[in-house]
Amino acid sequence: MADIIRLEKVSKVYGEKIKTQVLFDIDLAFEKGSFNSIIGASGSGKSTLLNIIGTLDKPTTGKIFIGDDDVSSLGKKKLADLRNKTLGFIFQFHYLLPEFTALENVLMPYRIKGRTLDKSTLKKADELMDMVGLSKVKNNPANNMSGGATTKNSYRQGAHEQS
Amino acid sequence: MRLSFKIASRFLRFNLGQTFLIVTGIAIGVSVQVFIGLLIQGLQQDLINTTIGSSSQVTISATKDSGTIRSWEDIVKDIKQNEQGVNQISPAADGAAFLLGEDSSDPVIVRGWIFEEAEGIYAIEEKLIEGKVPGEGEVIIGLNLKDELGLSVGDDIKLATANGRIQDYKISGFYDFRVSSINSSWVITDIKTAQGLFDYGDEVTSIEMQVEDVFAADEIAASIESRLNNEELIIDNWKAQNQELLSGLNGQSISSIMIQVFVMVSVVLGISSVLAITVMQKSKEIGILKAMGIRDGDASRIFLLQGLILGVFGAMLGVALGLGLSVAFTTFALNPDGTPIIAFYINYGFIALSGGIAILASLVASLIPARKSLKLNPIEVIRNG
Repeated sequence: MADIIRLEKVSKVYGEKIKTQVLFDIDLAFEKGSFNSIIGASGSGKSTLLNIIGTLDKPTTGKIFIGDDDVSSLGKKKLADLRNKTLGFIFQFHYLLPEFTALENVLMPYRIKGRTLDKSTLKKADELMDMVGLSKVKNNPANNMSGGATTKNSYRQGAHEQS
Repeated sequence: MRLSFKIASRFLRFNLGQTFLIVTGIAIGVSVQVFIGLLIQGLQQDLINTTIGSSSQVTISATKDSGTIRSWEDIVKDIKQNEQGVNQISPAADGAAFLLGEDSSDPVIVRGWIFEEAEGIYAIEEKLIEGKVPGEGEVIIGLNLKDELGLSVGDDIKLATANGRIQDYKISGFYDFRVSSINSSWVITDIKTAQGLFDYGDEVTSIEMQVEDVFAADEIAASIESRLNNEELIIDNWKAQNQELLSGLNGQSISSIMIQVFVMVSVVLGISSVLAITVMQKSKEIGILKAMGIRDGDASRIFLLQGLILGVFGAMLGVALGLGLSVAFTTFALNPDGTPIIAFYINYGFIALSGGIAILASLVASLIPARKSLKLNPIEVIRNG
Protein backbone atom coordinates (compact mmCIF):
# COMPACT_ATOMS: atom_id res chain seq x y z
CA MET A 1 0.00 0.00 0.00
CA ALA A 2 1.04 3.59 -0.62
CA ASP A 3 2.47 5.66 2.17
CA ILE A 4 0.04 8.29 3.46
CA ILE A 5 2.60 10.04 5.65
CA ARG A 6 6.33 10.13 4.99
CA LEU A 7 9.09 11.90 6.96
CA GLU A 8 12.53 12.57 5.49
CA LYS A 9 15.43 13.37 7.79
CA VAL A 10 13.29 15.28 10.25
CA SER A 11 15.06 16.83 13.20
CA LYS A 12 13.84 19.31 15.77
CA VAL A 13 15.84 21.64 17.95
CA TYR A 14 14.18 23.70 20.67
CA GLY A 15 15.57 26.94 22.05
CA GLU A 16 17.83 29.52 20.57
CA LYS A 17 20.59 30.12 23.09
CA ILE A 18 20.52 26.79 24.83
CA LYS A 19 19.75 24.28 22.16
CA THR A 20 18.03 21.04 22.91
CA GLN A 21 17.77 18.62 20.04
CA VAL A 22 14.79 16.36 20.39
CA LEU A 23 14.50 14.60 17.05
CA PHE A 24 17.54 13.34 15.18
CA ASP A 25 17.16 12.92 11.39
CA ILE A 26 14.09 10.75 11.50
CA ASP A 27 12.99 8.82 8.42
CA LEU A 28 9.53 7.42 8.87
CA ALA A 29 6.55 6.34 6.78
CA PHE A 30 3.01 5.26 7.54
CA GLU A 31 0.99 3.06 5.24
CA LYS A 32 -2.48 4.13 4.23
CA GLY A 33 -5.14 2.34 6.25
CA SER A 34 -2.74 1.18 8.93
CA PHE A 35 -3.06 1.69 12.66
CA ASN A 36 0.17 2.75 14.33
CA SER A 37 1.32 3.65 17.81
CA ILE A 38 4.46 5.42 18.86
CA ILE A 39 5.89 4.26 22.14
CA GLY A 40 8.73 5.81 24.11
CA ALA A 41 9.92 7.04 27.48
CA SER A 42 8.68 10.43 28.58
CA GLY A 43 10.78 13.20 27.11
CA SER A 44 11.77 11.07 24.14
CA GLY A 45 9.98 13.33 21.64
CA LYS A 46 6.64 11.57 20.98
CA SER A 47 4.59 14.76 21.29
CA THR A 48 7.09 16.72 19.27
CA LEU A 49 6.94 14.17 16.49
CA LEU A 50 3.13 14.15 16.48
CA ASN A 51 2.96 17.93 16.52
CA ILE A 52 5.24 18.02 13.50
CA ILE A 53 3.26 15.32 11.67
CA GLY A 54 0.08 17.19 12.56
CA THR A 55 1.50 20.37 10.93
CA LEU A 56 1.08 22.26 14.16
CA ASP A 57 4.85 22.61 14.53
CA LYS A 58 7.62 22.91 11.98
CA PRO A 59 10.72 20.72 11.87
CA THR A 60 14.12 22.42 12.14
CA THR A 61 15.33 20.42 9.16
CA GLY A 62 13.77 17.72 7.01
CA LYS A 63 10.55 17.30 5.09
CA ILE A 64 7.09 15.89 5.74
CA PHE A 65 4.87 14.55 3.00
CA ILE A 66 1.16 14.06 3.60
CA GLY A 67 -0.36 12.28 0.62
CA ASP A 68 1.66 13.76 -2.20
CA ASP A 69 2.08 17.23 -0.71
CA ASP A 70 5.29 18.54 0.76
CA VAL A 71 3.89 20.26 3.85
CA SER A 72 6.68 22.85 4.03
CA SER A 73 5.74 24.11 0.56
CA LEU A 74 2.09 24.69 1.45
CA GLY A 75 0.80 28.19 2.09
CA LYS A 76 -1.11 29.17 5.19
CA LYS A 77 -4.52 28.64 3.61
CA LYS A 78 -3.66 25.25 2.13
CA LEU A 79 -2.22 24.21 5.47
CA ALA A 80 -5.42 25.27 7.24
CA ASP A 81 -7.47 23.27 4.74
CA LEU A 82 -5.21 20.25 5.23
CA ARG A 83 -5.72 20.41 8.98
CA ASN A 84 -9.43 20.81 8.47
CA LYS A 85 -10.01 18.04 5.95
CA THR A 86 -7.27 15.47 6.32
CA LEU A 87 -6.04 15.55 9.89
CA GLY A 88 -7.76 14.82 13.18
CA PHE A 89 -6.37 15.59 16.61
CA ILE A 90 -6.99 14.25 20.03
CA PHE A 91 -4.89 16.30 22.36
CA GLN A 92 -3.03 15.19 25.43
CA PHE A 93 -5.07 17.68 27.43
CA HIS A 94 -8.70 18.08 26.65
CA TYR A 95 -9.24 20.88 24.26
CA LEU A 96 -12.84 21.73 23.60
CA LEU A 97 -14.41 25.10 22.96
CA PRO A 98 -16.22 25.86 26.22
CA GLU A 99 -18.49 28.32 24.46
CA PHE A 100 -20.10 25.56 22.44
CA THR A 101 -22.03 22.40 23.32
CA ALA A 102 -20.55 18.92 22.96
CA LEU A 103 -22.40 18.34 19.70
CA GLU A 104 -21.33 21.71 18.32
CA ASN A 105 -17.73 20.88 19.15
CA VAL A 106 -18.04 17.66 17.18
CA LEU A 107 -19.48 19.52 14.23
CA MET A 108 -16.95 22.38 14.33
CA PRO A 109 -14.45 20.97 11.78
CA TYR A 110 -17.34 20.39 9.42
CA ARG A 111 -18.50 23.97 9.78
CA ILE A 112 -15.00 25.29 9.25
CA LYS A 113 -15.14 23.62 5.85
CA GLY A 114 -17.80 26.18 5.13
CA ARG A 115 -20.63 23.79 4.49
CA THR A 116 -24.10 24.18 5.89
CA LEU A 117 -25.43 21.47 8.11
CA ASP A 118 -27.82 18.99 6.60
CA LYS A 119 -29.76 16.16 8.18
CA SER A 120 -27.39 13.37 7.19
CA THR A 121 -24.38 15.15 8.72
CA LEU A 122 -26.29 15.75 11.91
CA LYS A 123 -27.34 12.12 11.97
CA LYS A 124 -23.77 10.98 11.49
CA ALA A 125 -22.59 13.19 14.36
CA ASP A 126 -25.37 11.78 16.52
CA GLU A 127 -24.31 8.25 15.64
CA LEU A 128 -20.70 8.98 16.46
CA MET A 129 -21.63 10.41 19.82
CA ASP A 130 -23.99 7.54 20.47
CA MET A 131 -21.18 5.10 19.69
CA VAL A 132 -19.14 6.42 22.59
CA GLY A 133 -22.15 6.86 24.84
CA LEU A 134 -22.34 10.66 24.83
CA SER A 135 -25.90 11.04 23.54
CA LYS A 136 -27.13 12.16 26.94
CA VAL A 137 -24.69 15.02 27.30
CA LYS A 138 -24.52 16.14 23.69
CA ASN A 139 -26.33 19.40 24.38
CA ASN A 140 -24.34 20.22 27.52
CA PRO A 141 -21.83 23.04 27.32
CA ALA A 142 -18.40 21.52 26.70
CA ASN A 143 -17.00 22.68 30.04
CA ASN A 144 -19.85 21.01 31.84
CA MET A 145 -18.86 17.39 31.28
CA SER A 146 -16.78 14.90 33.22
CA GLY A 147 -13.14 14.35 32.32
CA GLY A 148 -13.82 11.01 30.66
CA ALA A 149 -16.65 12.38 28.62
CA THR A 150 -14.44 15.25 27.49
CA THR A 151 -11.80 12.85 26.25
CA LYS A 152 -14.40 10.84 24.40
CA ASN A 153 -15.76 14.01 22.94
CA SER A 154 -12.42 15.26 21.70
CA TYR A 155 -11.96 11.83 20.18
CA ARG A 156 -15.22 12.29 18.30
CA GLN A 157 -14.18 15.77 17.31
CA GLY A 158 -11.10 14.22 15.79
CA ALA A 159 -12.98 11.38 14.14
CA HIS A 160 -15.55 13.65 12.60
CA GLU A 161 -12.90 15.60 10.76
CA GLN A 162 -12.47 12.60 8.51
CA SER A 163 -16.07 12.61 7.40
CA MET B 1 -18.41 34.60 7.48
CA ARG B 2 -21.40 32.95 9.12
CA LEU B 3 -19.16 30.72 11.16
CA SER B 4 -17.04 33.68 12.26
CA PHE B 5 -20.20 35.51 13.25
CA LYS B 6 -21.48 32.52 15.18
CA ILE B 7 -18.21 32.10 17.03
CA ALA B 8 -17.97 35.85 17.69
CA SER B 9 -21.47 36.08 19.12
CA ARG B 10 -20.91 32.91 21.15
CA PHE B 11 -17.69 34.34 22.59
CA LEU B 12 -19.53 37.53 23.54
CA ARG B 13 -22.44 35.67 25.08
CA PHE B 14 -20.12 33.35 26.99
CA ASN B 15 -18.55 36.27 28.86
CA LEU B 16 -21.76 38.18 29.24
CA GLY B 17 -20.56 40.32 32.13
CA GLN B 18 -17.51 41.48 30.26
CA THR B 19 -19.51 42.10 27.09
CA PHE B 20 -21.97 44.18 29.07
CA LEU B 21 -19.11 46.23 30.51
CA ILE B 22 -17.61 47.00 27.11
CA VAL B 23 -21.00 47.89 25.63
CA THR B 24 -21.65 50.18 28.59
CA GLY B 25 -18.25 51.80 28.11
CA ILE B 26 -18.94 52.51 24.44
CA ALA B 27 -22.46 53.64 25.27
CA ILE B 28 -21.26 56.16 27.86
CA GLY B 29 -18.79 57.60 25.38
CA VAL B 30 -21.46 57.88 22.69
CA SER B 31 -24.01 59.34 25.11
CA VAL B 32 -21.56 62.05 26.23
CA GLN B 33 -20.87 62.73 22.57
CA VAL B 34 -24.56 62.98 21.67
CA PHE B 35 -25.48 64.96 24.78
CA ILE B 36 -22.71 67.55 24.51
CA GLY B 37 -23.14 67.84 20.75
CA LEU B 38 -26.90 68.40 20.96
CA LEU B 39 -26.50 70.73 23.93
CA ILE B 40 -24.02 72.96 22.16
CA GLN B 41 -25.96 72.92 18.91
CA GLY B 42 -29.13 73.80 20.84
CA LEU B 43 -27.27 76.55 22.64
CA GLN B 44 -26.06 78.01 19.36
CA GLN B 45 -29.53 77.80 17.89
CA ASP B 46 -30.88 79.58 20.96
CA LEU B 47 -28.21 82.23 20.83
CA ILE B 48 -28.77 82.90 17.15
CA ASN B 49 -32.52 83.02 17.66
CA THR B 50 -32.33 85.51 20.48
CA THR B 51 -29.72 87.71 18.84
CA ILE B 52 -30.78 87.77 15.22
CA GLY B 53 -34.01 85.78 15.17
CA SER B 54 -36.11 88.90 15.54
CA SER B 55 -34.11 91.32 13.50
CA SER B 56 -33.08 92.03 9.99
CA GLN B 57 -30.41 89.65 8.72
CA VAL B 58 -29.81 91.29 5.35
CA THR B 59 -30.58 95.00 5.04
CA ILE B 60 -30.68 97.25 2.01
CA SER B 61 -30.34 100.88 2.98
CA ALA B 62 -29.79 104.11 1.15
CA THR B 63 -26.49 105.99 1.27
CA LYS B 64 -26.39 109.19 3.35
CA ASP B 65 -26.51 111.33 0.21
CA SER B 66 -29.64 109.88 -1.29
CA GLY B 67 -31.38 109.30 2.06
CA THR B 68 -34.23 107.20 0.68
CA ILE B 69 -34.68 104.27 -1.67
CA ARG B 70 -36.54 105.11 -4.85
CA SER B 71 -38.77 102.58 -6.58
CA TRP B 72 -38.42 100.21 -3.61
CA GLU B 73 -41.49 98.29 -4.72
CA ASP B 74 -39.58 97.08 -7.77
CA ILE B 75 -36.61 96.01 -5.68
CA VAL B 76 -38.85 94.08 -3.26
CA LYS B 77 -40.62 92.43 -6.18
CA ASP B 78 -37.33 91.56 -7.84
CA ILE B 79 -35.90 89.96 -4.69
CA LYS B 80 -39.13 88.10 -3.90
CA GLN B 81 -39.13 86.58 -7.36
CA ASN B 82 -35.49 85.84 -7.93
CA GLU B 83 -33.65 85.48 -4.63
CA GLN B 84 -34.03 81.91 -3.34
CA GLY B 85 -32.82 82.03 0.26
CA VAL B 86 -34.86 85.05 1.35
CA ASN B 87 -37.76 84.15 3.67
CA GLN B 88 -39.13 87.49 4.74
CA ILE B 89 -38.84 90.93 3.26
CA SER B 90 -40.17 94.14 4.70
CA PRO B 91 -39.63 97.83 3.84
CA ALA B 92 -39.12 100.41 6.57
CA ALA B 93 -39.24 104.18 6.74
CA ASP B 94 -37.00 105.18 9.63
CA GLY B 95 -35.85 108.47 11.06
CA ALA B 96 -34.42 110.05 14.19
CA ALA B 97 -36.68 112.20 16.36
CA PHE B 98 -37.12 113.51 19.87
CA LEU B 99 -39.90 112.40 22.15
CA LEU B 100 -40.81 115.62 23.96
CA GLY B 101 -41.78 115.22 27.59
CA GLU B 102 -42.86 117.87 30.10
CA ASP B 103 -39.40 118.83 31.22
CA SER B 104 -37.09 116.61 29.18
CA SER B 105 -36.86 115.02 25.76
CA ASP B 106 -35.65 111.57 24.75
CA PRO B 107 -33.93 110.77 21.48
CA VAL B 108 -35.88 108.03 19.70
CA ILE B 109 -35.84 106.19 16.43
CA VAL B 110 -39.14 106.27 14.62
CA ARG B 111 -39.70 103.13 12.61
CA GLY B 112 -42.46 103.01 10.04
CA TRP B 113 -43.48 99.52 8.94
CA ILE B 114 -46.02 97.77 6.80
CA PHE B 115 -47.17 95.49 9.59
CA GLU B 116 -48.25 92.53 7.48
CA GLU B 117 -44.70 92.36 6.10
CA ALA B 118 -42.82 93.30 9.27
CA GLU B 119 -44.65 90.66 11.29
CA GLY B 120 -42.56 87.99 9.55
CA ILE B 121 -39.34 89.49 10.86
CA TYR B 122 -40.27 91.06 14.17
CA ALA B 123 -43.29 89.04 15.31
CA ILE B 124 -44.84 92.18 16.75
CA GLU B 125 -48.09 90.51 17.76
CA GLU B 126 -46.10 88.30 20.10
CA LYS B 127 -44.17 91.19 21.57
CA LEU B 128 -47.15 93.42 22.12
CA ILE B 129 -47.87 93.35 25.85
CA GLU B 130 -50.67 95.89 25.86
CA GLY B 131 -52.96 97.48 23.28
CA LYS B 132 -52.87 96.84 19.55
CA VAL B 133 -50.81 97.33 16.41
CA PRO B 134 -50.81 101.06 15.47
CA GLY B 135 -52.87 102.40 12.59
CA GLU B 136 -52.26 105.71 10.85
CA GLY B 137 -51.38 108.46 13.34
CA GLU B 138 -50.78 105.94 16.09
CA VAL B 139 -47.56 104.56 17.63
CA ILE B 140 -46.43 101.80 19.97
CA ILE B 141 -43.52 102.33 22.35
CA GLY B 142 -41.29 100.05 24.37
CA LEU B 143 -41.66 98.93 27.96
CA ASN B 144 -38.67 100.94 29.19
CA LEU B 145 -39.94 104.19 27.69
CA LYS B 146 -43.39 103.53 29.10
CA ASP B 147 -42.06 103.06 32.64
CA GLU B 148 -39.75 106.03 32.31
CA LEU B 149 -42.48 108.39 31.20
CA GLY B 150 -45.40 106.78 33.01
CA LEU B 151 -47.56 106.53 29.91
CA SER B 152 -50.58 104.41 29.21
CA VAL B 153 -52.60 103.33 26.16
CA GLY B 154 -54.55 106.21 24.65
CA ASP B 155 -52.10 108.92 25.82
CA ASP B 156 -50.64 111.35 23.30
CA ILE B 157 -46.92 111.85 22.72
CA LYS B 158 -45.13 114.67 20.92
CA LEU B 159 -42.45 113.84 18.38
CA ALA B 160 -40.04 116.49 17.07
CA THR B 161 -37.89 115.95 13.97
CA ALA B 162 -34.57 117.54 13.07
CA ASN B 163 -36.19 119.85 10.52
CA GLY B 164 -38.43 121.33 13.14
CA ARG B 165 -41.69 119.49 12.64
CA ILE B 166 -43.56 118.68 15.85
CA GLN B 167 -46.53 116.37 15.76
CA ASP B 168 -48.80 114.54 18.22
CA TYR B 169 -49.36 110.80 18.03
CA LYS B 170 -51.64 108.50 19.98
CA ILE B 171 -50.19 105.49 21.83
CA SER B 172 -52.03 102.36 20.73
CA GLY B 173 -49.96 99.89 22.73
CA PHE B 174 -46.68 98.84 24.32
CA TYR B 175 -44.16 96.23 23.18
CA ASP B 176 -41.33 94.32 24.83
CA PHE B 177 -38.45 93.17 22.59
CA ARG B 178 -36.47 91.98 25.66
CA VAL B 179 -33.60 94.23 24.55
CA SER B 180 -33.50 97.38 26.61
CA SER B 181 -31.78 99.48 23.95
CA ILE B 182 -34.69 98.77 21.59
CA ASN B 183 -37.31 99.07 24.31
CA SER B 184 -36.11 102.55 25.23
CA SER B 185 -35.55 103.94 21.76
CA TRP B 186 -37.86 102.55 19.09
CA VAL B 187 -41.14 104.27 18.40
CA ILE B 188 -42.93 101.99 15.98
CA THR B 189 -45.61 103.28 13.69
CA ASP B 190 -47.37 102.72 10.41
CA ILE B 191 -45.21 103.32 7.31
CA LYS B 192 -47.44 106.15 6.00
CA THR B 193 -47.22 107.99 9.32
CA ALA B 194 -43.43 107.83 9.31
CA GLN B 195 -43.23 108.87 5.64
CA GLY B 196 -45.41 111.88 6.50
CA LEU B 197 -43.39 112.83 9.57
CA PHE B 198 -40.06 112.80 7.73
CA ASP B 199 -41.31 114.04 4.31
CA TYR B 200 -40.18 110.88 2.51
CA GLY B 201 -43.12 110.93 0.13
CA ASP B 202 -43.68 107.34 -1.04
CA GLU B 203 -40.12 106.27 -0.45
CA VAL B 204 -38.53 104.16 2.30
CA THR B 205 -35.12 104.22 3.98
CA SER B 206 -34.40 100.51 4.18
CA ILE B 207 -35.55 97.09 3.08
CA GLU B 208 -35.10 94.40 5.70
CA MET B 209 -34.88 90.66 5.10
CA GLN B 210 -34.64 87.36 6.92
CA VAL B 211 -33.00 84.43 5.21
CA GLU B 212 -33.47 80.67 5.25
CA ASP B 213 -29.92 79.79 6.32
CA VAL B 214 -28.64 82.51 8.63
CA PHE B 215 -25.03 81.53 8.02
CA ALA B 216 -25.45 82.14 4.31
CA ALA B 217 -26.54 85.75 4.92
CA ASP B 218 -23.28 87.15 3.57
CA GLU B 219 -23.55 85.17 0.33
CA ILE B 220 -27.16 86.25 -0.16
CA ALA B 221 -26.18 89.86 0.53
CA ALA B 222 -23.45 89.63 -2.10
CA SER B 223 -25.86 88.08 -4.59
CA ILE B 224 -28.41 90.87 -3.98
CA GLU B 225 -25.69 93.48 -4.36
CA SER B 226 -24.68 92.20 -7.77
CA ARG B 227 -28.33 91.82 -8.80
CA LEU B 228 -29.30 95.40 -7.92
CA ASN B 229 -25.98 96.90 -9.02
CA ASN B 230 -26.90 100.29 -7.60
CA GLU B 231 -24.25 102.48 -6.03
CA GLU B 232 -26.82 104.43 -4.07
CA LEU B 233 -27.69 101.35 -2.02
CA ILE B 234 -25.77 99.72 0.82
CA ILE B 235 -26.35 96.03 1.42
CA ASP B 236 -25.42 94.88 4.87
CA ASN B 237 -25.75 91.52 6.63
CA TRP B 238 -25.76 90.40 10.25
CA LYS B 239 -22.48 88.53 9.92
CA ALA B 240 -20.63 91.69 8.99
CA GLN B 241 -22.33 93.55 11.83
CA ASN B 242 -21.81 90.89 14.50
CA GLN B 243 -18.20 89.80 14.10
CA GLU B 244 -17.85 89.16 17.81
CA LEU B 245 -20.91 86.95 18.04
CA LEU B 246 -19.71 85.05 15.00
CA SER B 247 -16.25 84.42 16.42
CA GLY B 248 -17.88 83.42 19.71
CA LEU B 249 -20.02 80.86 17.90
CA ASN B 250 -16.99 79.61 16.02
CA GLY B 251 -14.98 79.22 19.21
CA GLN B 252 -17.84 77.28 20.73
CA SER B 253 -18.05 74.94 17.74
CA ILE B 254 -14.33 74.28 17.78
CA SER B 255 -14.23 73.59 21.52
CA SER B 256 -17.19 71.24 21.22
CA ILE B 257 -15.47 69.40 18.37
CA MET B 258 -12.33 69.13 20.54
CA ILE B 259 -14.34 67.64 23.40
CA GLN B 260 -16.00 65.20 21.03
CA VAL B 261 -12.70 64.14 19.49
CA PHE B 262 -11.19 63.41 22.88
CA VAL B 263 -14.25 61.49 24.01
CA MET B 264 -14.00 59.43 20.83
CA VAL B 265 -10.28 58.81 21.33
CA SER B 266 -10.86 57.54 24.85
CA VAL B 267 -13.66 55.30 23.61
CA VAL B 268 -11.40 53.85 20.90
CA LEU B 269 -8.58 53.25 23.38
CA GLY B 270 -10.99 51.61 25.80
CA ILE B 271 -12.46 49.29 23.19
CA SER B 272 -9.12 48.30 21.70
CA SER B 273 -7.52 47.53 25.06
CA VAL B 274 -10.47 45.41 26.15
CA LEU B 275 -10.57 43.61 22.82
CA ALA B 276 -6.82 43.04 23.01
CA ILE B 277 -7.37 41.32 26.34
CA THR B 278 -10.11 39.14 24.90
CA VAL B 279 -7.63 37.80 22.33
CA MET B 280 -5.39 36.72 25.17
CA GLN B 281 -8.37 35.15 26.89
CA LYS B 282 -9.47 33.39 23.75
CA SER B 283 -6.01 32.39 22.53
CA LYS B 284 -6.65 28.79 23.56
CA GLU B 285 -9.89 28.68 21.61
CA ILE B 286 -8.25 30.26 18.59
CA GLY B 287 -5.46 27.68 18.85
CA ILE B 288 -7.96 24.81 18.88
CA LEU B 289 -9.86 26.31 15.96
CA LYS B 290 -6.62 26.68 14.04
CA ALA B 291 -5.70 23.06 14.77
CA MET B 292 -9.10 22.13 13.38
CA GLY B 293 -8.20 24.01 10.24
CA ILE B 294 -9.87 27.40 10.54
CA ARG B 295 -8.31 29.82 8.10
CA ASP B 296 -6.45 32.84 9.44
CA GLY B 297 -8.87 35.19 7.69
CA ASP B 298 -11.86 33.58 9.39
CA ALA B 299 -10.08 33.61 12.74
CA SER B 300 -9.28 37.32 12.59
CA ARG B 301 -12.77 38.06 11.29
CA ILE B 302 -14.08 36.72 14.60
CA PHE B 303 -12.51 39.70 16.34
CA LEU B 304 -13.62 42.22 13.73
CA LEU B 305 -17.16 40.94 14.11
CA GLN B 306 -16.88 41.14 17.88
CA GLY B 307 -15.85 44.77 17.49
CA LEU B 308 -18.73 45.40 15.11
CA ILE B 309 -21.32 43.78 17.39
CA LEU B 310 -20.00 45.66 20.42
CA GLY B 311 -19.97 48.91 18.42
CA VAL B 312 -23.53 48.52 17.14
CA PHE B 313 -24.98 47.71 20.55
CA GLY B 314 -22.86 50.36 22.26
CA ALA B 315 -23.94 52.99 19.73
CA MET B 316 -27.63 52.12 20.07
CA LEU B 317 -27.51 52.18 23.85
CA GLY B 318 -25.38 55.34 23.78
CA VAL B 319 -27.78 57.24 21.50
CA ALA B 320 -30.68 56.24 23.76
CA LEU B 321 -28.74 57.35 26.84
CA GLY B 322 -27.64 60.60 25.22
CA LEU B 323 -31.19 61.48 24.17
CA GLY B 324 -32.38 60.57 27.66
CA LEU B 325 -29.78 62.91 29.17
CA SER B 326 -30.85 65.69 26.81
CA VAL B 327 -34.51 65.22 27.69
CA ALA B 328 -33.64 65.14 31.40
CA PHE B 329 -31.58 68.30 31.02
CA THR B 330 -34.37 70.21 29.29
CA THR B 331 -36.90 68.90 31.81
CA PHE B 332 -34.96 69.68 34.96
CA ALA B 333 -32.69 72.61 34.08
CA LEU B 334 -35.27 75.37 33.92
CA ASN B 335 -35.33 79.15 33.90
CA PRO B 336 -37.23 80.79 36.79
CA ASP B 337 -40.23 81.16 34.47
CA GLY B 338 -40.39 77.41 33.81
CA THR B 339 -39.01 77.35 30.29
CA PRO B 340 -35.95 75.14 29.69
CA ILE B 341 -32.59 76.94 29.85
CA ILE B 342 -31.67 75.39 26.54
CA ALA B 343 -34.46 74.18 24.28
CA PHE B 344 -34.37 70.50 23.29
CA TYR B 345 -32.84 70.27 19.88
CA ILE B 346 -32.61 67.12 17.77
CA ASN B 347 -30.26 66.80 14.84
CA TYR B 348 -30.81 63.34 13.35
CA GLY B 349 -27.80 63.66 11.07
CA PHE B 350 -25.55 64.40 14.01
CA ILE B 351 -26.94 61.51 16.07
CA ALA B 352 -26.45 59.11 13.16
CA LEU B 353 -22.93 60.45 12.70
CA SER B 354 -22.05 59.91 16.39
CA GLY B 355 -23.38 56.35 16.26
CA GLY B 356 -21.57 55.71 12.99
CA ILE B 357 -18.28 57.01 14.34
CA ALA B 358 -18.60 54.76 17.39
CA ILE B 359 -19.23 51.70 15.21
CA LEU B 360 -16.33 52.61 12.95
CA ALA B 361 -14.10 53.23 15.97
CA SER B 362 -14.99 49.80 17.39
CA LEU B 363 -14.12 48.21 14.06
CA VAL B 364 -10.79 50.03 13.92
CA ALA B 365 -10.08 49.13 17.53
CA SER B 366 -10.71 45.46 16.78
CA LEU B 367 -8.15 45.52 14.00
CA ILE B 368 -5.39 45.22 16.60
CA PRO B 369 -6.61 41.96 18.16
CA ALA B 370 -7.53 40.68 14.70
CA ARG B 371 -3.94 41.19 13.60
CA LYS B 372 -2.71 39.59 16.77
CA SER B 373 -4.78 36.48 16.11
CA LEU B 374 -3.04 36.07 12.76
CA LYS B 375 0.26 35.61 14.53
CA LEU B 376 -1.13 33.12 17.01
CA ASN B 377 0.51 29.74 16.45
CA PRO B 378 -1.59 26.77 17.54
CA ILE B 379 1.42 24.88 18.86
CA GLU B 380 2.21 27.59 21.42
CA VAL B 381 -1.30 27.31 22.77
CA ILE B 382 -1.29 23.53 22.78
CA ARG B 383 2.17 23.17 24.26
CA ASN B 384 1.53 25.70 27.02
CA GLY B 385 -1.89 24.26 27.80
